[in-house]
Amino acid sequence: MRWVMFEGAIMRRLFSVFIFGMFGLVNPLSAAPDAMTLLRHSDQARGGGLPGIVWEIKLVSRDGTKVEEPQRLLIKAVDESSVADTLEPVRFKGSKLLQVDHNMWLTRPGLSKPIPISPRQRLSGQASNGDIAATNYAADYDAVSADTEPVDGEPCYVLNLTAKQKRVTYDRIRYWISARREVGVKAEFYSVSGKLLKTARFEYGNVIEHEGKRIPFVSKMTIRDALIDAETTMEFGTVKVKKIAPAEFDLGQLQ
Amino acid sequence: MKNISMKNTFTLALRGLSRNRRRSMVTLLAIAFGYSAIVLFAGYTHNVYGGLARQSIYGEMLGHLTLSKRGMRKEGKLDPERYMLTSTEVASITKLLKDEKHIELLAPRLGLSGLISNGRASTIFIADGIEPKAVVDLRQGGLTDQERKSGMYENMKMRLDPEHSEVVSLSEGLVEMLHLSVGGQAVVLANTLTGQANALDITLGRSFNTGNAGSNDKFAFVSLALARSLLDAEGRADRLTILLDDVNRTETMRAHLQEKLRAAGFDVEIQNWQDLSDFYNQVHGMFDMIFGFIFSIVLTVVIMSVANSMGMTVVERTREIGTLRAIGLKRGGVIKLFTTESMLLTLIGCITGLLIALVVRWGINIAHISYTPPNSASAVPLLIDLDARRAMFTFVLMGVVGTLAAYMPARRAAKKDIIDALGHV
Amino acid sequence: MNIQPTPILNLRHIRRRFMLGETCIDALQSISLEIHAGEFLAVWGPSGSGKSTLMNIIGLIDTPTEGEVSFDGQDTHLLIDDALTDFRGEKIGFVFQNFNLVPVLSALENVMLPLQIQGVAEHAARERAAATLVDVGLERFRDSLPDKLSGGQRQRVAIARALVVNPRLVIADEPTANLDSENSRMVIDLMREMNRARKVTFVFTTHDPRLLEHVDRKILLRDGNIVSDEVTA
Repeated sequence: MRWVMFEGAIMRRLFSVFIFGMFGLVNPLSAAPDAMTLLRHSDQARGGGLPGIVWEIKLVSRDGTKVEEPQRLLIKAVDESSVADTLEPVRFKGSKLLQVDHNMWLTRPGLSKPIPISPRQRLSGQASNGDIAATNYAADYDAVSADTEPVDGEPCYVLNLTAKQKRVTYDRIRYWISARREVGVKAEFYSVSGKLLKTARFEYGNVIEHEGKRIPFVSKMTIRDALIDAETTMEFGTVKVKKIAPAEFDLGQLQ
Repeated sequence: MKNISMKNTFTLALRGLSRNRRRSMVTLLAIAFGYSAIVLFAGYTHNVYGGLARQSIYGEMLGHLTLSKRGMRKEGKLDPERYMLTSTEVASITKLLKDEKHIELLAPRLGLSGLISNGRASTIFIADGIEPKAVVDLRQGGLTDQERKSGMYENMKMRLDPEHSEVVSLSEGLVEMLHLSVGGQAVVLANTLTGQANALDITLGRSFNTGNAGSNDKFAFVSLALARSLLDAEGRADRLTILLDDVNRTETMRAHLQEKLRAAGFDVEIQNWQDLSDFYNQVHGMFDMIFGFIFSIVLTVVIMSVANSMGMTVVERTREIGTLRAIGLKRGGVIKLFTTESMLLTLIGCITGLLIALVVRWGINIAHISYTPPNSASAVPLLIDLDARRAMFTFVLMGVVGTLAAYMPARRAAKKDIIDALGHV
Repeated sequence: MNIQPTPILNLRHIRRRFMLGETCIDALQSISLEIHAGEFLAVWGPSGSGKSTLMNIIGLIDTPTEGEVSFDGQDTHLLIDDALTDFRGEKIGFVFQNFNLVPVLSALENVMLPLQIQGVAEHAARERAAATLVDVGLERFRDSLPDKLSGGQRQRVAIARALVVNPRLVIADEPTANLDSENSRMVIDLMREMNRARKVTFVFTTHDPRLLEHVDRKILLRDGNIVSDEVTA
């Protein structure tokens, strides 16, 4: 069993029971929500299950002490597909990263054909962020409730997600979902061998409207590499729900 | 028709050589030194080839034969999963070949690439996964008896640890880039066969030099277990390395195994070490070219020496030739006489050259000279073998050429009118 | 008068023309001559008379521009090259003014030479050569190289060489020219002896009057023609 149960987990469990009791939530011990449902709700806050979302990202990467040039991207996403259009830096304007069903392609103005991005190239760099910013964990993973644990003082359900099939990049994810807001606030991404590869933290300051409801939406994502000292911060802005035509994700029309 | 016998021609030709001792000697020495140069160089290259063969088979761990699924060489690079041997195939083939008495070792190999990280920075690496025991078996075959006794066997730089599959050997450039020391920890990151991200802890066991600047900062040897775990490829291999008991059996075994496996339904191809060792082929090709070059030069010098020598001799002996013709030697006999003289000169020259070569060879071999060849991490001894095949071939060719070189001057002599010849001062 | 047997040598209307650049010279203009077996004769005359040319034709080492040569009844002017060489080697022996011995062969080996050229086995050749050396009185010098022999001795070796094949005819071109009087006399006496003992025909050219005294027949040449042909003995 690779899930390391931290010391004091028992203590935390008791503590969280107390906290939940304080906030008057539904009795946690007997009525913890179904893991898959929880996962689906949390996906929504990052764009899952919606007919289409368009948003802008400001992305800053740090590799060791070197801070890379900030980028501004326009993302359009629906469920398993997304396309990221580079707006800044200006010299890379027009570069696009397309992700459809676990396949990824890169194209640039001037290239005659889009370049497929292999799984190895997704181990690091910007392409690796794509797997993490993916919106549809419910489609790729089976969820099992594991624990409860607070994150930054906020009580969370901890889910163990296991990949449904062998083509999903991260074999297992440990996912902290806020009990109150039902949004994912922290995630740990593990390899097949059980090694921690990346950690991500999510903030939900945005709000989108859909079918009359106001849904919280991710405003900031911080991805930290567990193996090397590198970190990427993405700030999400001008989020809109919009139906996106399938043609947007057509490889042939990508140029 | 009566003709001068071969024996008589020989005796006369031999005497003819002593006509102008100095000239004969000079030509003979030119032939001798030329021949010895060829024999020595051929012996040197023969030794180099032998060393390279051992280096390729044992040092580079190519073994004698490499067995892989057909298509692996070409398409396999882009789609390894499809062209890898499955665990069933590996097991079945191993079992099928277990009783082959000329096979000393059958080692599954698994290549992979990915990122290696020391916690602060990462860089790409290319690794070969192999069983630690197979490393020892393969590399020790390349050691001479002397080396084996000295304990080099124990210090072989590329040894992996059979007890600890996480111990790896990294190329020196990699070690330097990641600032690792022996026993230091790092992480390797790669994709499984299905594309999932995977990572494992590794410990640096030893570092080594690939001998090639381009690969010395990328290459690594890992245990087969580690490679299989990282790729999530239990029991699988992308090729099997086969070590035989005798390098001369390589081709016959290849054909035999190919047939046996095809008959058993395995769609495999088997390549020998020469197909796979670029370095061997390049060096072999280069040395062959140099040999050809030297050979041509020596041959040209021999032809010119002999033709010159015979030309002068024939002119000097014009009156003698006239006399011989008068007393009954036919034109053909004159040509035979001089070409025989030249042939004898060449043969004696070659024999002398052979003796010179043997002496020089003996001297060099006991001098224990060593040098560091290109693309090598360490010095190798300078030794000269005796390449009998090439020596023989050169001997025959020089004999032929030396004989023919006298033909034109001899013919000129034979064609001269007797009265002109006799009147020659 | 006796009915003469077939002459050993019959020359009929021999002309030998040489081209020197654009001019032609007839060294022999029209020579007709019969030589019989066993004769001991000399061809003499001033320089340029054509003596050497005539000898070359008689010796079958040159062919006439016009005319016919018969040797023992056989038309040799019709033989070419290899056949001519064989014929010559078998039937004619040569003695040269300059001896022309092979310097790297001993006296015995020099005498063996014509036999070896004809393919005679070494053992047999050695025996015959040794015997011939005895005949010329040089058996003590059989293993000496020519440079260790005097002029007279060398010429005697040459004579032995000429005789070893049992030729029908021996041609000697100025055989005494390079010898002092004593050696000249020895050589002449030897040739005379061989002529009588072996019945070998001797034809030679000479300036030497002493030699001319010993011959049976003298043929005088001038400007390529026979001027006189005297039988003296």
